[in-house]
Amino acid sequence: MYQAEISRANPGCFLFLLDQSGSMSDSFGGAQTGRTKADELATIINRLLQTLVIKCSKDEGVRNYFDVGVIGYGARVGPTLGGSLEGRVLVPISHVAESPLRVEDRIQKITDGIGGLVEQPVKFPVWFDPVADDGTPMCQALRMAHAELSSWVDQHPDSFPPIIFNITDGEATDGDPSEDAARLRQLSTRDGDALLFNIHLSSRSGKPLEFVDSEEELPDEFAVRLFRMSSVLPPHLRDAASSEGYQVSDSARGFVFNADAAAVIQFLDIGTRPANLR
Amino acid sequence: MSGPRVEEYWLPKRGSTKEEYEDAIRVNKRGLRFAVADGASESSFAGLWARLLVESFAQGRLCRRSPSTFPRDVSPLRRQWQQEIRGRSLPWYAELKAAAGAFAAFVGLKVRRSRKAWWAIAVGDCCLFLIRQGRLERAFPIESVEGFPSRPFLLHSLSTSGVDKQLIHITEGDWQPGDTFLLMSDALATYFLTALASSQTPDSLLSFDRTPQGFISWITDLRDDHLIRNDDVSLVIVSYAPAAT
Repeated sequence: MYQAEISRANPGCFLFLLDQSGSMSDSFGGAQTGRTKADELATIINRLLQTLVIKCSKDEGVRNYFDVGVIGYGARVGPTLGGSLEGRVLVPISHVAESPLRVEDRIQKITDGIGGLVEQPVKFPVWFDPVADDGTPMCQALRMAHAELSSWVDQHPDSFPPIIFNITDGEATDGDPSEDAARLRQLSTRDGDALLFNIHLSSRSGKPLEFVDSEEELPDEFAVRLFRMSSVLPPHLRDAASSEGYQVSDSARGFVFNADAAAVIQFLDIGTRPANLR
Repeated sequence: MSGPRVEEYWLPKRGSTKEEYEDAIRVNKRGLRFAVADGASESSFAGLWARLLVESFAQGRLCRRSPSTFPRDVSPLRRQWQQEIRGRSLPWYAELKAAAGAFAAFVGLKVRRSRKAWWAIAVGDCCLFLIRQGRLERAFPIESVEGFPSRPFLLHSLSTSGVDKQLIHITEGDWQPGDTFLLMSDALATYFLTALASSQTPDSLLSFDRTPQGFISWITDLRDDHLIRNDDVSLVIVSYAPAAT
């Protein structure tokens, strides 16, 4: 289970659900960060998409190892990729690679290998800018995800199961999302059930938590609810997380608190990853 | 004494085209230098890096005098890889991916004709096997199937700090008439060691029809039976005739 080869013939699938509600305009991680939860979400989704695109990038272009979709929920619920991808939910990853809103030139600091830092120009693609407006129709978003992925799993019965990332501050306004989440996790391919991972962004200043295995250390009811909605990491992904240095127990779930989850994408094998690639 | 019989076989990963093959093979029959490299598929321009390594080894520029010069001899190859990439106009994602560099496993064999000696050098999980009198005499650098790491340490096309000597494995030995050397990339090497551990013999494993099409049929059957991981496959066979009786 969860070991199907990810290939162009049998691509994987990532579906991102983005909370774009008004409450996301609150500060992130304590007032001192100077960032809103919407700012943090935009950074996380841009980094997730960049990670996926680069993972699939080869000499001749981007190989369609994954289908990718983004559904935003706030003032409206629907696909939120822009430009030429507007209105489409799941698209091959190469289409995402070709369609950032813009590519910014930024400066990053990297070590010079002798104890110092040097500035290096780096390209930073942007697909999303921060948005925060209206309520949080998370149930509706989960149902839309279910509808979209139902047909995907029918079309890809031999593929690695779809992975859904729900990035939110957890305060659903259209009901209890637990049942819709459970129905989503019941979708499956021959390789296993769909995996629902929740990235919880909080205004609290709690320390970042990754791949949590217990409710006890969670700070509030929203975090607990999202934790309970999250899939347990399957053994193969858990082993990959361990070998990357994460402390994961057998009951670790795909739930992170005030942290990003780009690492999950790295856990998926589409080829040889050298140990000295960091 | 006439030289060895040398055979080369290769097949891209199922689902990939021959242009997408990221292993590399070079043989120098006159100089008795043989090399196989395996570009790491999650790095980009890995096939180019693999080709630079094997070409340079076969022509005697890599490990010019002995395996101990490997770290120094790699530096110009790194510069060559970087120059090749720098000259291309790349989209943002390819630029970011290339900035991380390429990685490859490598195994090189040098045979000395007159002294009946050989040495070999390896980084990562490409392997050399020496078959003598129908048995596996040497396996290098990995001796059993348990020795294959899921994420091997490989040779990087970018580095300002040389080559970590811990990554480099060197060995040597003597050869006899009748010996066969095999160089191969990791998917086939894993299958080979697994099959030998379950009491198959080297001769039976090499009993495929020794033509390019015969090799393709053999590997295709192994893939269909899920006996070998779906990956690029490369094999060099260097066989010395038995002594005349």
